[in-house]
Amino acid sequence: MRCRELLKYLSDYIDRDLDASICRHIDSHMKGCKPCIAFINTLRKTKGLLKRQPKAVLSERLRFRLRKLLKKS
Amino acid sequence: MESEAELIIKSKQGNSEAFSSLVSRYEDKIFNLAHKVCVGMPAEAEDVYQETFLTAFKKLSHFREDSNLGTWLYRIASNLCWMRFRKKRGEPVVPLLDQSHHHDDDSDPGSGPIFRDWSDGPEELSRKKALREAIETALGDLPIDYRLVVVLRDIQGLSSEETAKVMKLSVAAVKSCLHRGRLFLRDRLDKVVSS
Ligand SMILES: [Zn+2]
Repeated sequence: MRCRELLKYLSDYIDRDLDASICRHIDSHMKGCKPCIAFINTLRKTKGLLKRQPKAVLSERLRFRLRKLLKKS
Repeated sequence: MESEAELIIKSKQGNSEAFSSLVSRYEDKIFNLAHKVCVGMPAEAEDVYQETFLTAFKKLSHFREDSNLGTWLYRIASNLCWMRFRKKRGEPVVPLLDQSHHHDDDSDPGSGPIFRDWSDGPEELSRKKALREAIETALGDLPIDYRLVVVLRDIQGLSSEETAKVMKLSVAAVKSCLHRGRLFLRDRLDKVVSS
């Protein structure tokens, strides 16, 4: 499998949502291809960064305002 | 504590107290979704949060008890976001290209771009903050359909199947949006690291 063919599988690969046989192809490609290793690591880090983005804090003012509007509606 | 099903029945009869209890179970999630999709527009995020629950209360009679309330609320919120950010009619839709990762284009090995690994270094800490800010900006530049899928999957932690239900897309379409969205974000982060 060439690098370019690999690309379309990489999100499924890092999500572990891929056919075992394709997984094996990618695993064996990865052993010999440094650029692909770097690429997949950075894709994985991108996913990790999204997951760890700080949660938005909902203020008491907004919670209260919504309750008031619901009562009126 | 009353079950969700009981609260839904009471809410359908117009009981706003019961509906407020339901709101309490989902409002942080819905607000986070709105906040992440409405990048840099806190007033819009507040509107989406509020409108989601006002709409839900009004349309609760349409909610089928055999479906999932969380999914239904996410769907309303996603729709409200989509209406705000969709392209106007006639505006060109910019396709997301699978930009990078073509290092084997040439037969000569090693002639393509070198991919950095963003490996941990002494500057890692200041870089983390830069990456967090960069990812926010880049999210804002993603077309709305991709942005919604990335936020639902990778930030809110929904599965591809749940995201498909929220977006009324096929699971394959969700996966494709997610992949292209991640590639776009990865590319932007790579530029930050390389600069
Ligand atoms: Zn490769």
